Amino acid sequence: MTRYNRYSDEELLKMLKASDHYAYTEIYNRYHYMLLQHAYTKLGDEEQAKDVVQELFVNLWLRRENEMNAANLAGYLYKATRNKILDIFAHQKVRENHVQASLNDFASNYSYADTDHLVLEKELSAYIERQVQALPRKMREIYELSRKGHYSHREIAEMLNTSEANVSKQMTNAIRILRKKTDTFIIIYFIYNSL
Amino acid sequence: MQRPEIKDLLKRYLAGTCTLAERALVERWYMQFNEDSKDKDISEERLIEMGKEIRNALSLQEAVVGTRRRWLVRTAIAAAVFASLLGTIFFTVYFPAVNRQTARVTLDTIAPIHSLRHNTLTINGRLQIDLDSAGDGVIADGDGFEVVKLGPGRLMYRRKGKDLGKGERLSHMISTPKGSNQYEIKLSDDTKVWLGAASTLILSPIDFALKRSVSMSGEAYFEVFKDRGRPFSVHAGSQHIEVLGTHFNVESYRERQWTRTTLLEGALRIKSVKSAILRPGEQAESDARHLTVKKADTDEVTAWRKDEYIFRNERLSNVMLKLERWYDIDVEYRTPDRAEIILGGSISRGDRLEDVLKVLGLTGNVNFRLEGKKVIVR
Repeated sequence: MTRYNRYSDEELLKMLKASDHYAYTEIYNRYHYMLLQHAYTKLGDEEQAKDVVQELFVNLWLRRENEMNAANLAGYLYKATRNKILDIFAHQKVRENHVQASLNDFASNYSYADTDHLVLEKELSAYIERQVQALPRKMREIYELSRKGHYSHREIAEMLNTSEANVSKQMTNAIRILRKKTDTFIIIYFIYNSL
Repeated sequence: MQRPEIKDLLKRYLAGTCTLAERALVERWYMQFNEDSKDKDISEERLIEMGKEIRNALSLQEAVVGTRRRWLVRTAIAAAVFASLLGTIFFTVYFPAVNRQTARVTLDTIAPIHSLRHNTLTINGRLQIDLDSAGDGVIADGDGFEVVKLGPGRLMYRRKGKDLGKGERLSHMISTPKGSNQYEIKLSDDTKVWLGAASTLILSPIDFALKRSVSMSGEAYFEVFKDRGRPFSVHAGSQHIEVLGTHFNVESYRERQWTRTTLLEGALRIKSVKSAILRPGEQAESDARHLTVKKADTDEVTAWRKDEYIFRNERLSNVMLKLERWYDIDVEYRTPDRAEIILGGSISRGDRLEDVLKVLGLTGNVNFRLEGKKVIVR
């Protein structure tokens, strides 16, 4: 098992921006099922749903450094999928188009006054949460493992192939040795919350 | 609302030109659209199947952990000899069907502006080691590997003992800053990689030992150690490159949508939107949708290895992209169509930026102004 499934979305995003292909793979593993199901629900067509998700992931890699300013990975992926699907809807022929009929009906009965940006974001988060809860058990587990967040001391110790008590000591030693070796040694050393 | 208005609303929504109220309407409608429809029923198995098909198309790189293998560690180190700097810049400029001028200038060999930023090795995205100020010798170990600094601009991976680490995999990222000289990395299989300025190589030492796979962005030249039993692969932008033992150059800039791989020796397979086999002298260029293979000028492509940059019939925007990386500058176009001017010429690593710009300016039709670290093109 790869340990990448334990990274939070935030950490994966950082690694993705640094061109870590394994982080990209993990994002795919974590989200492709939800997004495929979502795209199929909206489009009702397997090929179209597949194309939408494939294009989304190709672009995610190509634009990993430029456009990925999203702090919220799930929100970013849903919005990107939504835009792609709305684009397909906008280009469908007007005749025999029940998508546009549905939007038309919705608009005539629509009475919401609240257009606040934050409210819309919350509604989307709630929608994504409902999707997660509706996932098959195995898929949901993949997703929820990542939410438990950061590595424990023991896991970092295992990762670095040493005992738990040794972790911080070893790091300190490493820095000392490196300092000795150089005049102007610069080391930026940070291990998130975990140590 | 009429049907055409609905279509128009969707288009304005996508263009970002609708009102907040309209945006809320579209998003709320979308969220509930088809949610309760019976058409949406699709089996879990079918979705998993579709997911696999996409996975294959993306050629995702799965982490391999757990298996241990013994193998030989080869320790021969070959030093790369780089050609000395040339002091001459030579430009020919082609204005498509307009006029043609040639300018020749001799310059003193003065180093380009050096960046304060450094070459770095980042482990697991958390621990960052400054490769420039670290002393020679072992600078990092873990997973049964040592990273050894051999001198300025040279790094080596080496197996430590016979066993691989306990099956955990560290992620190593080697990055060169803008303005950097080329950086040589010898991997644990004796493959050599030269990274250009503002480029990144990513690998996991354990995974690399098992399946010789790396990712990169920016520019890199590979001399892959021949090992028929274990193919070597590179992920770069829209390409997945599979090789046995060959020499090839990869360009995959984040500022550009394309990735270009040029083969000098041997053979390799590119997997992108489709698959292609490259023969020596051929170049595969791809983006998210296309892959084309054509003949390439290999001297031009690999000139950077000799600290030179040769370009023939190249857009000014691509020339400036190289200068940005070599001289650690940013380029701003005040007159956008200048970016499309087609130029030919060569630049040596040692040329001063001011002089390079002066010569480019002499070719006519374009003006440069240097403001600190920014070049303004008019």
